[in-house]
Amino acid sequence: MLSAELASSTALLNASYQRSNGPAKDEVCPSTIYDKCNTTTGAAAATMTKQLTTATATNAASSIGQPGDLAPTVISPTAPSTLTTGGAGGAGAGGTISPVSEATKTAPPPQPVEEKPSSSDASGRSAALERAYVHDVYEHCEEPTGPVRPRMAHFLSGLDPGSVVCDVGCGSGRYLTQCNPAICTIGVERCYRLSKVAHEKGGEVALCDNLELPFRDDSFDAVLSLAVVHHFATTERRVQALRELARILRIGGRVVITVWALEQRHRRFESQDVLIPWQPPKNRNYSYSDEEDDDNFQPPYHAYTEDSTNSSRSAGDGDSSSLSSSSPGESCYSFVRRAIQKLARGRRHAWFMDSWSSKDTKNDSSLDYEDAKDLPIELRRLEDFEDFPDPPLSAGLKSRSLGSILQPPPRQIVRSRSSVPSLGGPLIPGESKASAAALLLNNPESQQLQLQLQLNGRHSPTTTASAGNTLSRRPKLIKQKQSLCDDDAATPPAPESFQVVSSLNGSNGVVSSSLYTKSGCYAGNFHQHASATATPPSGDSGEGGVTGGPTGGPTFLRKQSSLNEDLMACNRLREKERVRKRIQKQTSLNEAFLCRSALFSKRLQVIREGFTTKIKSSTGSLERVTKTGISKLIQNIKSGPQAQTNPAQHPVQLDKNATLNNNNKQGVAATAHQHHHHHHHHPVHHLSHLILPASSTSAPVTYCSSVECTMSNLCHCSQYQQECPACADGGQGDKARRHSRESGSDSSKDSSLQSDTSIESEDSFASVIFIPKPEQHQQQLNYQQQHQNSNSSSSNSSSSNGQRAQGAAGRDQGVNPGSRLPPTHSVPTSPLIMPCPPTPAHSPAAIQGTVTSPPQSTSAVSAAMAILTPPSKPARFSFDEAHIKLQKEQHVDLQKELPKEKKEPLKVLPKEPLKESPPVRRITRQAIRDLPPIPKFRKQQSLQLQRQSFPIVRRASGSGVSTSASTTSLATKLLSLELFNPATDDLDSDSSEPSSPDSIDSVISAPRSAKVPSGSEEGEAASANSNSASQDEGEPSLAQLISLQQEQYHKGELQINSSRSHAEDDIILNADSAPLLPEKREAVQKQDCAEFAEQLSAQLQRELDDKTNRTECRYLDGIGMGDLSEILGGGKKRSNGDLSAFRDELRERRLMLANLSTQPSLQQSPVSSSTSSLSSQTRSFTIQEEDGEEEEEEENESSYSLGVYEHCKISKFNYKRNRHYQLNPETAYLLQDDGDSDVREDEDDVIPEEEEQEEQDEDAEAEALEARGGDQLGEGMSDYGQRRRNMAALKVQPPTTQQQQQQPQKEPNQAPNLQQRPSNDSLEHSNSSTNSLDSPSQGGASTHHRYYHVFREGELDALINHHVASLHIVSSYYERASWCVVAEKVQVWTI
Amino acid sequence: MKLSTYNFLTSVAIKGVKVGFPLKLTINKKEVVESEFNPTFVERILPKLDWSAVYGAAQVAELTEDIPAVQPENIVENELLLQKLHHLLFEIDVLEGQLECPETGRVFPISDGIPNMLLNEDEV
Repeated sequence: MLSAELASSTALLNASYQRSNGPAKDEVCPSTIYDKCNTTTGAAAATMTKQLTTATATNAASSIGQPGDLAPTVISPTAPSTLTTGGAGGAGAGGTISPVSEATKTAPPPQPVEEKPSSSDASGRSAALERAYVHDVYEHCEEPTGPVRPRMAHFLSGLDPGSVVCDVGCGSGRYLTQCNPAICTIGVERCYRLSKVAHEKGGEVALCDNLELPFRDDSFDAVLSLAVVHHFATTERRVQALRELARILRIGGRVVITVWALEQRHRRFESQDVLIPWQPPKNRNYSYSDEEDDDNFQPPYHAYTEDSTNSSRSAGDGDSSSLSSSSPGESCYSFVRRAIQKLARGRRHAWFMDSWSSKDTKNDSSLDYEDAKDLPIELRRLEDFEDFPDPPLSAGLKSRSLGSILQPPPRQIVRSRSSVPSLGGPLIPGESKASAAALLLNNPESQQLQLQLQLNGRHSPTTTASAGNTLSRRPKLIKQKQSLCDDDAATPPAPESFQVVSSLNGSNGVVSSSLYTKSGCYAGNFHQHASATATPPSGDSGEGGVTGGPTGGPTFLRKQSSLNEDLMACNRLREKERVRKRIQKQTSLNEAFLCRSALFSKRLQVIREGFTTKIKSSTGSLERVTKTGISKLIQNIKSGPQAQTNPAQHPVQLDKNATLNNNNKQGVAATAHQHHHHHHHHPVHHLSHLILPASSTSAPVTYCSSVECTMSNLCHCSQYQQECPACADGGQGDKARRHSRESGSDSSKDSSLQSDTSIESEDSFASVIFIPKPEQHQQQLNYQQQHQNSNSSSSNSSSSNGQRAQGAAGRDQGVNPGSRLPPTHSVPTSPLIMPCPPTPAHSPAAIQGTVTSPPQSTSAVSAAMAILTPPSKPARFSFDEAHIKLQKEQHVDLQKELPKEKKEPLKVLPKEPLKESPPVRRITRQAIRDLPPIPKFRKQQSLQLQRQSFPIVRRASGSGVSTSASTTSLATKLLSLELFNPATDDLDSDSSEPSSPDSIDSVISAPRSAKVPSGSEEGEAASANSNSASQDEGEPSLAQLISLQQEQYHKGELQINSSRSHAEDDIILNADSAPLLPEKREAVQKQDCAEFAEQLSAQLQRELDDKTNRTECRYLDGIGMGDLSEILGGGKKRSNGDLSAFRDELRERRLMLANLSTQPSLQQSPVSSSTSSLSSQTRSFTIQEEDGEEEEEEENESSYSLGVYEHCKISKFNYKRNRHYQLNPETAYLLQDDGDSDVREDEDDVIPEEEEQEEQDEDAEAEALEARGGDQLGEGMSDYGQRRRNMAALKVQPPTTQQQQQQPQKEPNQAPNLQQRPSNDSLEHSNSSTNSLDSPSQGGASTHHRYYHVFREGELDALINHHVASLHIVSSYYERASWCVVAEKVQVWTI
Repeated sequence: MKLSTYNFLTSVAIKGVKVGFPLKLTINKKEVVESEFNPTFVERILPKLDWSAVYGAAQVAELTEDIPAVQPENIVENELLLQKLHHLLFEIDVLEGQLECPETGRVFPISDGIPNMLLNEDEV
């Protein structure tokens, strides 16, 4: 603002310099003289008029009776030339015409050279100064209306009725209408705003300048010029103003002129040219309170003089009110006030004595009157005293008045500098040493800044005011910080966490300093500059303080470092970095969320695998011994890396504690904001904890037999490897959990948990009984975790605090290693799963469990099975609790739980029939397993095939062992174990409905029934047969898994496979059509077997050229035959009971249609694949038009379908196949329509995958994706295996492959949605923080100044007497800080 | 601006202007403001006014019928004329219009009842 004004004034100065000839001429060209010299030319007229003016002046002087000395006290550059011509005129004192003409001839040559340059320069600069510091200030600054002065009211009321009065500089028009209604007053105002105010009051106003009054000569009876003349910047302009007043006044009329006086009681000026500061209108209330006691009521030119006094006082009031809000500010200011009061009293006496001795009798009476009013407001006048050093400095820099007495700028700079120590001095004794050191650093810098500002041309009053504000505000910040540090130190820290508390104190200092420094920065622009310059030296000490925290330095150093860090936090770049870190932490939390969801599904699968392995039993003691040895070796290898990883995690958690405490104090708003976000994490945490105890139920069973022990160990090893990266990704979540334990500081909980651990370690079977208890503890922990995680996600700590946080987290983990025990309560599995180091109490239990597992007998196995039945029910109950707590928004989690709940009753069913079986029958069961394969092979194939079947089994088992040795194949092993899940489904379904011997379709199973005597034994034989089938199927699937893994589920390759398989179907039909069997059904079955065998052989030849695979395919032919017969028998009985399930029928209808669509193609004559594809497309279009509604329902179903769901659907579909087999051929085309819809969904899924790839910028995200990739492969492979088994029955290839592609792509849809939500939250939080940073600064308003030329005693009288001949001074007096003159216009005669 | 003020305004301050009186008045918008009639006040202020300017103002204000072109001698006795002069000089307020210098043609605008007589530096 000030710089803009300076620039504009400079431009105006240059412009006015070129046009400054006008004012010079006006001074010497009154219109009256023009009338007398009509006959002369322009140049001659000018010279003659000057001569006449000089003669007039001489006559006027002689008439007044003053001495002949013509030299005035104050001389302008133009005066010497006038005197010269006057002297010439005086020499010819005869008054004749001839001497005048002679003088005219000699005058023209020297005048233009002498006058024009100097006068034009002065007038141009003064005009620019007045425009900047008088006209603009009155135009833009508002002031209240002052009261009417009684002396002026008396003057106006004394005029005759009908008098015409002109008020030059009427302001807002106080004297236009109020004083005397019998007179006509015309106001003249230079400021448009004030003239408008006066006109609204009913006054008559004209907008014009005093130097060019647009009125006729001798037209007014009285003229007022109140506080106007002192605003003109040069003596010439002031004289011109006085002459204009005399011109418009009639002879005999009187003029009243008032100007500011240099001699004021409460204010002293070193120079006569000053810029008085004016305060903004917000301090207007103070000025009203001072109005009555104001000692200067005269209205200045264009406005009010006393209002400027009020404004300066209001500035003082504003300062005191702002400072009195805090106790240290008040004490400091009171000290300053006393000092100023003493100085003022001394000087005031000097002023009074000087003015007293030189006053007239009238002035004496007025002075007595002022003394009475000045006394009550003594303190306020002291506040005005603060402005004392300001005007001379600015005047020295700005004013160029020729007649003024200037002070040199260096002296003024010294004066302004001295005021700063006096303000800062009293602060030092009242503060501590640390705060004093901080102030001493800032004081010299602020002084240097003042000098720089002065050199740059800025005004010292702004600098002084801002410096005072800076010093006064600093005590508040320092004392508050000290109080916070003391509160932290007062709390008694525990001896174990002494280091943590010490680091917290240091970090709290940083946080508090950053908060207060922000407010300090925006308090004023100058304060921000000062803090910016002070940042480098304090920054170094601040960094030292931060690093000293963890080392346990003394308290004094920490407090000092916290104080020095005030200025560090002003930097905005750090705040931007904090925002970035906040976003990164939230992304890491999202990754933890996703990893836990992955672990959730894995643990459920582990439970199923445990149950399946439990039921099976090994054959042969040699295999038992071999596998037991291998399992021991694997355990030893896994125990090694655990010890290495634990020390790395040790130093992380302790600093986590410090970081969270900082977040609690700082991020209140952020905590509330992030609390909502944490709801997404909470249910997953809760579910993951609930599943852990369920997984422990499978652990004791692993040691029932050597074979099962080997399988389960491999299972846990593979699970452990997948959990390791998951734990690393979700490490922040675990650390927050640890912190919640420590922050709660509940020793009773710790002791109770440890007691539970000790009980579990004593007896492995007892741990199963205590499963419900740790779940309750974990629920409580989850609630605490919910509160703390929100704080951790909203952390604002700096990079140095982050490093210390890592160290603190490590300590925290070391202190409480047992906190991980509750999630995993089973003793034997703990060495494999836990990342924590084993404690002395824990390791003996693990060894004991390992030793006792081999010698367990059959009775022990049955006892374990009995114990497992009760805990399954509380596990189910816990799922219901989790279901209730889930939010409505999380539909995905709801869908995941539904299939899990359905699985639980299925688990219970197979145990009951097994209990009833005696040991003797188990031997019989084993015998039955050996018998069925032999008759199949004898009937259907030659002896050569039978011989080859035995080596195939051995090679498969050997390859399984070799793959387990390598780390990469462990993932495939887990995938192969997942394939046992469909076996469980088949087992459950077959046991519920054994096939009857009366069925016609069970032709193949007839030989088995002849050997078994009883009906119940026949049912058991069927279940045993299904178990053997599932076991045999698992081994060859390993080879397929290896080959398919290489494909990596490329969409293009799968499409090619489907097209090739379709072509081969046609070839198979042609080949098998000739050797059809006599029976129709048997012929159909053979065709199915042949097709299935050749499909497998074709696929394997593409991927692996190995002869052994071919033999495996032939071996599977026999198994396929048996499965088909059983499925057909069971389907008939179950079809009647499933009519009520309408929804299930809709889902199964899709699969049924697939079967029907395939068979018509088989029955048709052989056609090329391209022709059949075209025909299918045309049919699908027709169906779309007819069955649009069904498509919508199916699409919804597909969106909710999961891998687990399809297991149920496929198993039920097997038993309804016969009923749907007779559907109309029109409905068969719906499947093709579904196929098209599946293709569309695949296209939609591609887009989120691309988005997901863009987000994989960080390594952590890549690791998370690897974990999810494993899940996708696992579920996809399990579904694929299920479908391959159903190919023998359904013969569906193209639609199923498309469905298979769809499932892996559904999971990526969920992942980016989850990631996008928290990122939006973090952006909102960053926006809110940005708004707080952009808050406007306070106290930034610029200060306006008005120009005044204060008059000395007698100066105004001299101007009138010497330069205005027509005015005769009637009276002259001092009244309220201004000189007043009353003059009368007289007739001047030329003799 | 009231028409009484108009009687005092000139453009003599302009460089090159000798008399600059009376100014040419143009009224675009005016309003009538009632005020108390004081015959003594009107009687005493008339000698200070220029009658030709008063009649010119009456012409612009369309009150020619009320004001004679030549100042009568015994105006004090004619109270009706005094009332009409009071109405013309003190009750008619010009809100929008302009004043033109008779010698140079410089136009001074009248806005919101306030004549703007400010001059540029090159005109002084």
